[in-house]
Amino acid sequence: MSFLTIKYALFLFIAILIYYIFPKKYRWITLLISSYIFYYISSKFLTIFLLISTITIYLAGLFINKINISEKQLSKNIKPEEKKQYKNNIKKQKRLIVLLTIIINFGILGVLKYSGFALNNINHLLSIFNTPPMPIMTFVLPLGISYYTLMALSYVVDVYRGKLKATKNFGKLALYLSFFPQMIEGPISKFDQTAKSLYEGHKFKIDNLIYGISLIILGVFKKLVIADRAGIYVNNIFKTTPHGLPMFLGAILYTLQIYAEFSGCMDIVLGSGKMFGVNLPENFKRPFFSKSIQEFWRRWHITLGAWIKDYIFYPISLSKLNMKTGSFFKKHLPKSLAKFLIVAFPLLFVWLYNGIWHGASFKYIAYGLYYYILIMIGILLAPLLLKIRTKLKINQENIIYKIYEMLRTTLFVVIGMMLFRSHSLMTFIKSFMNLFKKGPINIMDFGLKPFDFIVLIIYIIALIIIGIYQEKGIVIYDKIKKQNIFIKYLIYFVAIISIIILGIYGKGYDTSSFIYGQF
Amino acid sequence: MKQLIEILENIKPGVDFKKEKHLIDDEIIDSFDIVTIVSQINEEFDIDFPVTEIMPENFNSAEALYKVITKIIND
Amino acid sequence: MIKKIISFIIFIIVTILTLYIISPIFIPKWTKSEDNYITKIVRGYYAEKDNSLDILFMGNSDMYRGMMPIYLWNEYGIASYSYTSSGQRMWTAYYVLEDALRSQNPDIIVFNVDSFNFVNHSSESCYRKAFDNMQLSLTKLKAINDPIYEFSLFDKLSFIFPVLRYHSRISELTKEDFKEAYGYHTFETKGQDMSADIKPFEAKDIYMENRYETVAFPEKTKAYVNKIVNLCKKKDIKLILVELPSGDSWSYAKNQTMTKYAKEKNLPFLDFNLLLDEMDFDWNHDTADGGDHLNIYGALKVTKYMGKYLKENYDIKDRRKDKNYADWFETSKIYNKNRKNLINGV
Repeated sequence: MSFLTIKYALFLFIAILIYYIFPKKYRWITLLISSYIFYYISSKFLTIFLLISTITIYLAGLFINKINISEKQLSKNIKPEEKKQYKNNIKKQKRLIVLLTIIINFGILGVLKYSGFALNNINHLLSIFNTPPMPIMTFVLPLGISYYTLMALSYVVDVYRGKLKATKNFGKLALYLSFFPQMIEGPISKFDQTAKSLYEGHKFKIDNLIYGISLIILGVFKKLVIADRAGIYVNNIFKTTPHGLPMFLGAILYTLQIYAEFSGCMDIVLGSGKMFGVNLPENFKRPFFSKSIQEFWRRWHITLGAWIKDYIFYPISLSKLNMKTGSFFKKHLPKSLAKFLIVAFPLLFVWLYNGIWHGASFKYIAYGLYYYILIMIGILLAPLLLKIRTKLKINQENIIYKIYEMLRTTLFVVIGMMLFRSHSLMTFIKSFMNLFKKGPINIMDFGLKPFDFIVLIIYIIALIIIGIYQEKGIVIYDKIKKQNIFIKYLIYFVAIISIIILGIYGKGYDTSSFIYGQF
Repeated sequence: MKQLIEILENIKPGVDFKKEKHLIDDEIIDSFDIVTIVSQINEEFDIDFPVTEIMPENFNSAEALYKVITKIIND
Repeated sequence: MIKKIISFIIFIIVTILTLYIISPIFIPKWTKSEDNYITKIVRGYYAEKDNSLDILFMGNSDMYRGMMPIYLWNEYGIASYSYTSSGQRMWTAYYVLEDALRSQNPDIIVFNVDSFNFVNHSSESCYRKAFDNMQLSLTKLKAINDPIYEFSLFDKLSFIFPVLRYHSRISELTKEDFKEAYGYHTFETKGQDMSADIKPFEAKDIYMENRYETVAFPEKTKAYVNKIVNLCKKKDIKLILVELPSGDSWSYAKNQTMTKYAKEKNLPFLDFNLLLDEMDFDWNHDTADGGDHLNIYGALKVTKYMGKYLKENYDIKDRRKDKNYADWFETSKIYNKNRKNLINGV
């Protein structure tokens, strides 16, 4: 079910109605049922996969719990010499359970999402040896599998790490994993972030409804007015890969498009959650105010970056292997190079995973590696840049320097987005080369009129101004709330009328096709 | 504790680790710094800093970090 | 609390009203010949004084090209108007009739039956040209809700709030879009779409010759023609069925079917395709596009015959002495000038 349909609005309305009609302690059940109905409408019998994931992590959690309880009871009777061995055994048992759960869940995701890609490449290899290719099955993906699989594994690992106590309440866990607004594009929440809030029934507060609706209106505006408008130019330009400025503009507009669309979708998701009194985690925090690539990935798709940091980066970087290697390098290499090497290994996995998470193709792997290389170069050059800055007496806190850093970061992101949007790695390389050639094309030839560009520019300016206020800690929504009722309604009025007049929806009007043609 | 402060200042010079209480919240140290710090702590205190202790609360100040190190040694 | 509810309701009403009020600005202004002056035809009809028209000509594009109401005024003092739509199907014809009778009660209605056997939909542009300038009324709501149109919910909403359909025109709005959005001005041709083009009809000698084919009167369309007949009967309006000369959509078979139907319903049926000699009609000269539609020369001949027929068979009112119709003289002068300019290629 797409968020931008009357179907979803109706579904949301009914789900909210039912939620608040029921007494507080049963409200979570209505959420669980709504979520599974939503999931079934979207994925039909593929719902079984969501259930399998839920069941595996539920059982894994209970087993780990059981082991912990028996350890507490039995460890008193263990002799001190055998304690270390005993503790290791316990750890091995728990590890095995977690490993099994990971294999099952990532296995399902792997087969459904990546087997086609893997088999394709294997077949290419086989064809070199004149071996007949293996049959490839393509699968329809269960809704949100890339998101809920990560959420499921975060639960198991957190229980294993002792951060969480496993829940005996299957329904509570099922709701955490299936809450319907999160099923389309996330956010990827952790169990201790949302499970409690989802489970406890919330009192009806008109403020929550208003806030939710406001966020949804904002999201619809970003998608229909900005994202889809930029998308017209983007779709046309990426069909033909022309030269020079229009191509570069295409990359910029694609970055704008994906930002408006993804963050707008998140507005609708968080707004929907808010209407149930549930606060879902943010995924965007003014990403184009980032001064470095690392910072960008802490402000863009925040929950994915956080998940990768907690479940890939830290485990690998703090592993015995990495730590021992790091110590070795520290003894024999200069400090900055040692720092570089101690993170280079785990970061490779981080960015390979980030790339492949986005899609099953070499293009996405290249996308991840692109940021890996940028970050690695950044770390290597850091001491040199510091020297240059000190020589030129440039203060890092200087506003001009900060703007330079933001523009530089945005430029790298735009190029990364160009790769992301290109049809393949090859096409991207061709397009990138073409950027520096001059072409006889007019940016007005790709479906947008000057009026449309003005709309987009006004939005970007508004984004910058609002962003500056938000960076200073001002919460725009609170400011609006303080205004008098006329101004508040005026803002909603302008928003709704703008969506209806400026939104990209329905058929366009083409004079020639309306000229008296057929009877 | 003095040893810890030395380690921190070595890795991130220019920060007053005796006074700062919001190292993570104010983004004074990032995840790369944490890894470098932990690597050094592991060496000098001869411990294995577990992933489970990588929490913002534990790294927000030198005191908090020292508490965790002590806990790990005693376990 | 009450204050909050009231202000919310006011907000909703203001928003909906705004969408309704700004919509006419976005509707394309079909005021040129390539759009057959449809906007002028429809809005010009509403500009006529209530209950002032004695004869209405209705039907599809054959009618707006083929009839010349100002001739009837000049010759007989008949106050008439061609209220038509291009690509009109029988179901649209019925609702246009119902709409026409909201502001007029003519004595006679002359209805062009050309598309009586067309069961497919008009193009989207034809449906929109028929409805977008139609005033909002119970009739219009009934029409867009009629399942025969297969309009989606969004379509239906867009007929009440056309801004939903035409909002993309925001980047191309002109002064005319604002000027012609509101208000009704008399259309000096009284509904005629004038063309001075001449393109001969090649198959003129054979299109009415096939005596072996038959054409059925589909139930789907007959139901609406029946409704037209019944409505006229109810309102005591004399209905005359006609078929204007049409090279590409008429045949002897269709003539036979319609003759039979007219007899059943006890209605006169005038097939101009069988009266070509009586009208001195010339397919080489009197059609603008090779037989599909007439030009002003053909329209004059058809109207001359029509006028005589009406005078001989019906009680027609001569309004030339009526003070209430004084403005028709001025209108007729403007029409005559425009017609002369058109012929001289000005």
